[in-house]
Amino acid sequence: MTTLLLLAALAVVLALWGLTAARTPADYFAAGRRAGVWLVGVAGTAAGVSAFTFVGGPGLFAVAGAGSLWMILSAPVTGALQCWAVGEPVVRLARRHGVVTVPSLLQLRAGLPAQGAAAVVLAVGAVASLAVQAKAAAVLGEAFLGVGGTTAAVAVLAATAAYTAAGGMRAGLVADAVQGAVMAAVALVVAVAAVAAAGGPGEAVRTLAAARPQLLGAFGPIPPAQAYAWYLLFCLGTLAQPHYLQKFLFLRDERQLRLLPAVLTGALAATLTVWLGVGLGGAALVARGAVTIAFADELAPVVVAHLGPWAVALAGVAALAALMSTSASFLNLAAAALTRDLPAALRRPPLPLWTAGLATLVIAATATAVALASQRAVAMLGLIGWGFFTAALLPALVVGLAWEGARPAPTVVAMVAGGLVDLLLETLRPSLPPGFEPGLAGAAVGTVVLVAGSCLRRSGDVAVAEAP
Amino acid sequence: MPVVATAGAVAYLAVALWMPVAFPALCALLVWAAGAVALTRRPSTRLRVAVTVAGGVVLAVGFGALWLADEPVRGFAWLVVGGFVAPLPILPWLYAASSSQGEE
Repeated sequence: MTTLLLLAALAVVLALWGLTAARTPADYFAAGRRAGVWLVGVAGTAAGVSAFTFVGGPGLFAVAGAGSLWMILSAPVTGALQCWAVGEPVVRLARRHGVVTVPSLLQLRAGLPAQGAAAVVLAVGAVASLAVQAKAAAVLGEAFLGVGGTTAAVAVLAATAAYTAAGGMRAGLVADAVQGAVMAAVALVVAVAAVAAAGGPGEAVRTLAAARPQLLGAFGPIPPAQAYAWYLLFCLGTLAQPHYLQKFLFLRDERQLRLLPAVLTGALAATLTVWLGVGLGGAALVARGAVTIAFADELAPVVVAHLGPWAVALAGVAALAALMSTSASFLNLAAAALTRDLPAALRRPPLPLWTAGLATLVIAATATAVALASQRAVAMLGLIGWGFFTAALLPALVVGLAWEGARPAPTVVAMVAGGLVDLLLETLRPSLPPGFEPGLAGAAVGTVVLVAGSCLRRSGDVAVAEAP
Repeated sequence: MPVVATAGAVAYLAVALWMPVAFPALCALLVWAAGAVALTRRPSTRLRVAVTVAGGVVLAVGFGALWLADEPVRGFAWLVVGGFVAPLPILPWLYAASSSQGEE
């Protein structure tokens, strides 16, 4: 409870500062476009890493072993890949046209319908992701902070909404950067402590090799095709996550990109050590009988409790930081979609800045209510996450932004088709072959639709132009 | 760009549905294809080296993992060291190097 009260106090201070700092749309939605590489790199990692890394990752290691690591093998690649494929065009377009939202980038290439479609995708996906964060806050509050799930969910979302509504991403960026630094430091400490508790990395591996060798090898018990598909999904998916792309809008100039991959990669690698360290150390402790777990996601809380009260407190703070940084980005993205991008798509002026603050509070309340009302709804909403954004936005953001031949109508159809294919395949997931990832399949279909549709429309344009 | 993107999309669907053993090659090909697109926008010797190295690393890690799939300790060590720790500094460094060359 003390942690939550401290959290509320810090949120109030940040909100008060944000009220005076965020005066223009560029301040509110793009952090004033004055940020440097360190701020954006650490904050970008914080926004990208959710509580899944701290709880779901080690838990997944407990059942999938080395196979789960294919989800994080993309870490050495994604920082540079983001800057190459989307960072450079996004920063250039943003500086040239004064763009402050992700959907308005698409408007520059593919017109108002694309901006509207992206805004709808983003608003739906953001509310779904926020509901999952609220549910995670409820679970983590009970596991790490010793407070009721409802209290934790309401407190975390309310605190995040307070400073995000008041100060937009001017306040959100500062908070994200602090949270990112805390997450990276705590992840390293907890990971090292967990491996040390298992006797060191060599002893932990030897324990697993003797007791549960199926968790080791290069893939654990996961089919290799599934592991490679996870690798591709998390490599390519980073190019389509709106809360990642949003950070490129904050940079003060294109030169900041040069060192951004190094900062992104360093911060991400430090944070991901918790997946490997707690997963490996925890699985070894379970194999040795030092701790017992009833289900996979219990691994991280049980291991942290085994390490001592200091680790429980640190892990609780880090998990809260992960939740809040991701939530702040989604709240701001959804508010921008509702108050700027959707009105623009309907050929109306953007709504006043205060309505974005109001939208932030309404979105936070809606997501919290959905999270607390129905377990089943949250499980369904959980499907609308990384894979959905990858399927719906990857073709439009990568091919659409880089290829001048991309046409507006096929871009919109590609977004809709990609998203629908992903959702449909998610419902059929148990019967899909290993390696056939719904998010990647949706992105593949969307890419074919975008390119083929644009070529067909272009040839149609030429035929019309050449007609007498 | 459109040709590379479409070929990559169709290749993924084909490999995932009918040729899962070709996944390591697909991963490397996608890296090289993405790099080729990046090179058209920012021609650079260092970037060309970066793309070649990145594709090679992905190919080596992918097929090496298949080779060591049933070796508990060696396979795990290959994955953690070869797939995660060792490549960490390579791409950020090459990206920074190619950026400075591009500005000159």
